[in-house]
Amino acid sequence: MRQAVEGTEQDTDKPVASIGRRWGMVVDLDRCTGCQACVVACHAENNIALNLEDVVLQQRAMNWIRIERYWEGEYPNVKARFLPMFCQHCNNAPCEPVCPVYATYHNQEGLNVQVYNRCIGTRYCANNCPYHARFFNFWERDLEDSHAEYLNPNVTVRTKGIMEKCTFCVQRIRKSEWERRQADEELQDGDVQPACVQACPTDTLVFGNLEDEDSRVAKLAQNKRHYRVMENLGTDTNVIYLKKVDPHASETAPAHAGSAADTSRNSA
Amino acid sequence: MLFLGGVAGFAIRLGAGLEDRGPWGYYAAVFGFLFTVGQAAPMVSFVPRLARARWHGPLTRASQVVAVAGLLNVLLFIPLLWLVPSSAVRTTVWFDWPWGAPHFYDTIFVLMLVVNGFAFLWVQAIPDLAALRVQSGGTHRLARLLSGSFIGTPKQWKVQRIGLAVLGGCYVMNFIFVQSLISLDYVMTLVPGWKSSMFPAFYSINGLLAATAMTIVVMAVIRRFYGLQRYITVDQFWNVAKIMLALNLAWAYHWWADFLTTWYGRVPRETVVIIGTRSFGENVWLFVAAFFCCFVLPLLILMWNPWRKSVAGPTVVAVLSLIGIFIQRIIDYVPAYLNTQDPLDHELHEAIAIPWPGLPDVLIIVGGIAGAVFLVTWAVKALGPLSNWEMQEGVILRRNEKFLNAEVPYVIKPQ
Amino acid sequence: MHERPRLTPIQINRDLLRSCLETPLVFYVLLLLLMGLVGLGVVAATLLVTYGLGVTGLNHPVFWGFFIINFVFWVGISHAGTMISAILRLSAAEWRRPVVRAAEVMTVFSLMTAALFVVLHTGRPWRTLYWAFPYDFVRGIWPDVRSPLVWDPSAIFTYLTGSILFVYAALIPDLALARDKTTGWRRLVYGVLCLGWRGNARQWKLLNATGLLLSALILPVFVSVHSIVSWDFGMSLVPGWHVHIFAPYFVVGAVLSGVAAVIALMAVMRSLFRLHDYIRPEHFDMIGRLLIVVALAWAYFYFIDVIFALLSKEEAEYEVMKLRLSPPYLYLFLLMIVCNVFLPVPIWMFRRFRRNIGIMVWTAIVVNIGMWLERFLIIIPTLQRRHPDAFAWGDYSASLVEISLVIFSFANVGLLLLLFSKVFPVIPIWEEKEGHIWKREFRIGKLRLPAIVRE
Repeated sequence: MRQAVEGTEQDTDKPVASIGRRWGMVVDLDRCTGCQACVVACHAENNIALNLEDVVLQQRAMNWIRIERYWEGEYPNVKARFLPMFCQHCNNAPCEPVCPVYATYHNQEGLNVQVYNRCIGTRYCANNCPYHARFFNFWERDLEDSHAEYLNPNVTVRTKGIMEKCTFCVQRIRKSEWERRQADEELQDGDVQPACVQACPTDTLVFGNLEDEDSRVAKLAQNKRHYRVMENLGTDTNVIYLKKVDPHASETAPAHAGSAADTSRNSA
Repeated sequence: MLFLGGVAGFAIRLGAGLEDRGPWGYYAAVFGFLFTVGQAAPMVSFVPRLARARWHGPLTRASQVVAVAGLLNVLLFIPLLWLVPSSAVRTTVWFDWPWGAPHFYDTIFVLMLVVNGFAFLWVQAIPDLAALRVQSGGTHRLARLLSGSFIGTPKQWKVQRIGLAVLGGCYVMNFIFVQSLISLDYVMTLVPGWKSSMFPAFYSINGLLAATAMTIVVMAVIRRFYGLQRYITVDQFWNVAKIMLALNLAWAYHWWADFLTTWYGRVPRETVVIIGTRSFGENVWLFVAAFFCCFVLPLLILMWNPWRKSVAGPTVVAVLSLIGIFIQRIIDYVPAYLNTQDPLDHELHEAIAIPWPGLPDVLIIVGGIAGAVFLVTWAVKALGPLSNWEMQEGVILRRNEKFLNAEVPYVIKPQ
Repeated sequence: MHERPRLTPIQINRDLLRSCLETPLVFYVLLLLLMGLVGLGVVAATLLVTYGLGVTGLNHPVFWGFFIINFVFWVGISHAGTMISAILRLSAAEWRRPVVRAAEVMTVFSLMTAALFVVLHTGRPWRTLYWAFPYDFVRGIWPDVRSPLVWDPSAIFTYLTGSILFVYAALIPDLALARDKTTGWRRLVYGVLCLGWRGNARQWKLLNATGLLLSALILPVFVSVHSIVSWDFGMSLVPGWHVHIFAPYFVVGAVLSGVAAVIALMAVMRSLFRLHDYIRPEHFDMIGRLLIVVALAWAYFYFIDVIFALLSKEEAEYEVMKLRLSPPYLYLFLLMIVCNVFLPVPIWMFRRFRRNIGIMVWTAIVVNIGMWLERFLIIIPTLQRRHPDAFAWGDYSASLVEISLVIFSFANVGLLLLLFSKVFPVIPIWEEKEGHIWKREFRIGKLRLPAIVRE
């Protein structure tokens, strides 16, 4: 009950004691061009099944990161707005308490992790994720496809009947950690770069430790343009978006890009 | 006297003006409480009838008597009409209906409920009134007027029975409808972001519980002061106690379902109202008191058959439940009226604490309840404490016969 | 009751044990038919487990489909048993006697079928099976009790255990009777099953106490089971599912569909086993009255649910309700409302219709169609428009595998009931006799009125 009362005061009730590390990302929408490089990089890095035509037609395509595109305004003053959407690694994740087998839980680094081996595929977490960031393996993976030769050895190939989602490239986090530990050093800001961050040509995505006040991501998160998607649900995400700077904002219709703008606190 | 004190308190409040809604919270709570208690009473006499239970004979009049307090509600209701903003400045169930929604429609429905209730009670009382007319040799003018030409022909009895069934059925639906409506229009939609579909149902459950409790209390009082121990037996208390226990459990169940859904959802907009204001937040002690009075203590007392099967046990539980429901009404109404935010806001920013009642509030609470008690006493005097014909029917339909070696009660069930 | 014909105990024994001792041709026909349909379901389930959930129509936004609808539906049906036997037993309603066992047995079988669907619906059913029990003792990993999906099996298995005990306790005297009327191996089986019942005073007293105790204990379970099923939806953040009213609303809906199903079952039993003297129009009459109240309560809760979704300024929730109330779902919605309230309730209002068994069976079927649609409308459109995120909206159409498994569920419950009726008497013989002994007629004036000992 105590926990619940704290919840009303917008106190984050962190499920797990933190170890001074909370991975997070800042997405600067002003920089995003919607080029989809992050999507491709993610597919290559994380062994995501190929979205072949039949799978797409079955509405079972998987994209751990996707670019949401919103059209805004009336012709001819149409603007395209882009919003990269992926697992928000909520501190107060709706997907976590509904899993009956702890296949998804919060680890000490603020990551919302998915344990493939434990997952039984109730798909409750997918239903409960407001960001549509979770994907289900409806079919067994056909490894004879052209992708087979390119599999990333550091990432599990998922079997049928389980959920998967963005991991913030946890394999890269572990690798950097290990390299630094070999040299007997602490992990530095900028050491870890998930595939999408690495691939982003416009530096839209910035990844790092939100608990470290000096990190780039923590500083950007203080930007006055910051907001979180669907903040009203109280999910307390670790992904922070920076609102698009719109020089003509006052002339056109008030910016309303579906989920993207509905909770913005500060106008640009 | 206390009633007059209440009127004085009301006058003080009125002097302070109707513009500011905040101070009227306690007044609204009294209204809500009496509305709940008074208007639910005919249900108590109707529901066992529908279930064809044969033990309710002595119970009906007690509940009818309570229903007279419903008149008072109508009086109390009038100032609230000015206090509550129209649907233009908040979301209500009325959407964009014309003509002063919600005030106009709510008034109509409340009046309809009262009329329906009195019609039901009148039909129920006709045989007794006729008996009174006969016994007084036709000199009792009121009885003569109200009982019409009822002389107890089979056809008249049949019409009376159908009338009871139809009016009673209508009343039950009407009651739940109006309770839900009042809970929405006069409480919930005043608070931004409070959107719990459980609330109308919970409010109605409170109403049923209060009515049952009030019936038990009235029964116990009548039994004691009119010396009717032979007519109102432990049997009746035992049976009502079962209903009482069921309603206590239903109360807790509805509250729990509401709470759990909110707590799990962890949506700030909901938690700030349902948890922060209404249960474990600012007003935790009020809530705990209500929870104990309406659920924990009744359960602990009524779960034991010897206590269920006594006069004292159910009466104590009934009094506790009434107190609990009154507290619950305070939790319902006072924050809603204290809310200073625009009801159209997306969410309540912080939980609302309930202040202690001031002198006018106390006067209003005491006066309102005293007024209801006064009316009830008057009604007992006017109507007679027991429903005569139902008692007689009960006597006819129940007899003890030998069964093997034992004497057992038989209940006759006409189709 | 007054329509009860005068029957001797010998007649009662003969009539009610007939289903166990004789095997008419129609039994075999039904058996084959149902087994065929169940076989179809087994094939479908095999496909499902072999190829994965790809063979269903489920997709990215619509992760739950026919299986969950069916699960909720059958758990709903299972509420009839307790409603009828426990509540009516506690309130000493006389008309319950011939109905209780059929209702209770239907509870057991429909619960089993419902539980089957939970397992089938998961991605890796073989793992789910050992998830239902706390597993991984060595690594110290336990099921997460915060998840409504852990409450589900707990509630269902508690309810199932309780219901089986309930059925079994009430069966004991009848089993003893069957033991006395049979010979050979059957006598042996019944003899073992009836646990040495001799019918002495102490045993009867214990049986009565057990009945009352189990009735009282099973009631909270009964309410909790469907509340918990509703919380599968209510605990989520999905707009249109995160509805506070769901718990009582689901319970009432479950009672509606379950009690309606009992009507159909009673009618089938009546004609199949020639039980016209035992299951009489008055029983349908009483159930009809009960159903009026339940259907109206359901309508109230449904009304609240719809109004609140429209009332809210929540864009997401409004979107869901808008989809539910626009074609093609609008037609289903209207059909559901008509099936659940507007058609049956006026029919049940009239005594003449309540006593017409044909009409009652049709209303019962109509109500169950309505209740199935209700679950459909709660689950499917909601998932299609889950949160205003245009890139993840979708639609859903069930595959053949899902449809055959739905057919399978009906056939499965039917088959199990048929087999049960072959082995055990479907009407509690001892309760029936008890009713006969306790009734009496009185004359009041010119009327002869039935009376019963107050329990």
